[in-house]
Amino acid sequence: ASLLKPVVVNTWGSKDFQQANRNALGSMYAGRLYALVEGLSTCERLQCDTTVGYDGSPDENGETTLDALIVDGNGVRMGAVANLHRIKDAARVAWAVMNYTKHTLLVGESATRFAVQMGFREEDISSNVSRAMISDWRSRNCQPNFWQEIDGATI
Amino acid sequence: MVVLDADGNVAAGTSTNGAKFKIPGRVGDSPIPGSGAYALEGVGAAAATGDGDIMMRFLPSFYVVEQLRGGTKPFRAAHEAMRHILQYYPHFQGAIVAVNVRGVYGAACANLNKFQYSVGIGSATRVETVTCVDFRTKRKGNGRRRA
Repeated sequence: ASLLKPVVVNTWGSKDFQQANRNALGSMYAGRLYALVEGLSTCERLQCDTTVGYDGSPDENGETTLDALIVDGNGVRMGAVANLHRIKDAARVAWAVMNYTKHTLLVGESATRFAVQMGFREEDISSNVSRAMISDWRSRNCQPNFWQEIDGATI
Repeated sequence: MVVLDADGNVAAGTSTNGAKFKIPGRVGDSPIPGSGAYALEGVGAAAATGDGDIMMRFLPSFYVVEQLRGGTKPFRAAHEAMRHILQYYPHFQGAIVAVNVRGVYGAACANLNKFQYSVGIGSATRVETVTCVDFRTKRKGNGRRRA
């Protein structure tokens, strides 16, 4: 018999983030990594606060790209993807990096190709919400943005 | 998200679509080990949220877990991580959650006024709130709880 109850703590407390917590907690029977990935995937599916998952936070081109990381304390095993294009399941792809490669981090279009190789579906993940946000942003003279000291800059 | 199972094993992870209107190609803190999340066998785990462009310069999740390794409680370790960043970037906005292998958890935030986070223990999930660190004042309060 163990001394501990399982614990799941995640950032933010809105309904969708709570649902992610419940789903993780409810998946603990299948192991901590399964639970973790289930929790993260829940937010990807529910687009928690529009900050997780498909069709949110468009870049300057209007495209949604995803970042995800999975860390297991045991053996300090890790998998991560960054700037992942056209794949919804960033956390599951990160888990695949951990389970099926000796690498830690895959990025960009190459990460997309890895995901497709692993059986994930490639699809447009930047639709209505992102397009509305980016056209509104362009009509506001591209404000806010992340450039600085660019006027007359020379490299 | 940080996870502790009934055997005392920890894991941590993140998922995000990043910053709105980022420059194409930008990667935040979320996929960076030690920044977005970290977990260490026999010690604990941490996961961060907020302005990733700043956070990834300080590896806050690694910083928290290293403190847990020295026996610091999660609440205090989280506060120290936020305070550390605020020392260099006083307007930094973000938050971090942590759990140790004994089931003690805690959270801290910076410049968000209040920060809400989700806590699940056993089979019940609830929302808790912390007031953000003011790095100009001494630490106070005590978020220690046991699972």
